[in-house]
Amino acid sequence: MTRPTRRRVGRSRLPIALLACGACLITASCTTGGEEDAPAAEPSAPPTVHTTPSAGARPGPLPLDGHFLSREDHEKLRSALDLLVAACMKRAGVPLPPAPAVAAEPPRHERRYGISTPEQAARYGYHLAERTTPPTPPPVTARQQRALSGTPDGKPGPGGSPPQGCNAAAAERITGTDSFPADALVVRQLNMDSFEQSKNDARVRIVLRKWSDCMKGDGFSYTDPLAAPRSMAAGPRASAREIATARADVACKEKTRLIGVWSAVESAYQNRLIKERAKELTAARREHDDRLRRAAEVLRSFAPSS
Amino acid sequence: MRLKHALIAASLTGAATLALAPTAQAAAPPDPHCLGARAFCLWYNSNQQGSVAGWDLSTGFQGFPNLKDAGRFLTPGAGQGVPVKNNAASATYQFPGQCHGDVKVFVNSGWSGPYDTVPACSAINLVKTKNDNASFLVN
Repeated sequence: MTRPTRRRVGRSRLPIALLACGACLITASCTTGGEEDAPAAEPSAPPTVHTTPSAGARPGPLPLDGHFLSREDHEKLRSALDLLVAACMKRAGVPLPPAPAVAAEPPRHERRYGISTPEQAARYGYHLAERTTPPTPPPVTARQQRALSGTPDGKPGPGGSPPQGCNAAAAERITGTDSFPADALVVRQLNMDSFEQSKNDARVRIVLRKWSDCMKGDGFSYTDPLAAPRSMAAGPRASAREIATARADVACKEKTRLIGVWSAVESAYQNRLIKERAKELTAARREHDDRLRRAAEVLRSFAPSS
Repeated sequence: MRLKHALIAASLTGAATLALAPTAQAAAPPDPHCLGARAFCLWYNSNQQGSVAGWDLSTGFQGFPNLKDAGRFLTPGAGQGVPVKNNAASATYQFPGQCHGDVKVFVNSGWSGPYDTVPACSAINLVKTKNDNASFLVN
């Protein structure tokens, strides 16, 4: 099995003293909120951060967010797929199970740098706050399942439903594969790369060390906030120690401005990656647009004629 | 690739009755053959190949905060017997009825760090979480 390649990130050329100067924690040349168009840095050099790190403890948006499947586009695609699946099941004479409720989608970067809200830490530790259990879907009969998910022997399913199942048949109309739409591979790859690159960036490492020292002062020994959830108690409830760890974790993040600094540095890496991989991102966008176009055709074909 | 591989693999290995390692999550019945109506499955190799570990999500299971509790890949094939944690390369999420929701596979335990999203009724290769997967969460 292929193991992932660990990228090496060049060391910062900035004097460390500059990294912790007042409100401008990242770089001596940071500007507030502006778009950057700095001269191209040498490939191995860390990118310049042009935004002032947020003092807030909650993670904000990242530049790559717009390349993920948006909620609106997801709804359009899903509506078309739902119609295709329902029509396929109707043709087969197999009743469609009711659509199960789905848990609310949390903000994209809710725990990207670990937990971030004091209230949640104090009450739940590292456990989940609201969505303790997703809604349980209604039972599905074996006949419904075969019609929806296909048959293992490649023969038509109940009522002459397609061998690959109505779900896969619907997916083929929209994605050209038997898989429902997912985020583009290149987008997912860059999302992971920026995280790893920023985690290894000297500016982030400094703030991670400060966070770790802060935690040590409270009696907890962790190298970074992503290791702290290992203190999670098994079972549905947080232990007293887990809550104490989580509270110290969030307090130290606020004290060291860890989330603001890390997020600002990661934004710079994402901006650079977006420029470097523009061709692939454009190709992914084109494929996505094609899927949306097919979905729109399906929606039109099912719309009642006036 | 794709979802049908789960069914084909399951049919080929159907004679083997396997159980995943016991976990602290009583609400996660193992579904090692990935045959359930609502099953989340992690595969040892890319493109839904090799040994598979799966869980029946029809009970409302929310996911493992630490995949060390998820046991090992136990179906015949590459990776059989290897711990699931940090060793999965691809995933499928089978779903009954209309395909809503997703499962997020995180790089770190405690559902933290970046994640790969596996939408309902999809099959994907994991990216960074390939061989570096520590928790998953059902939405």
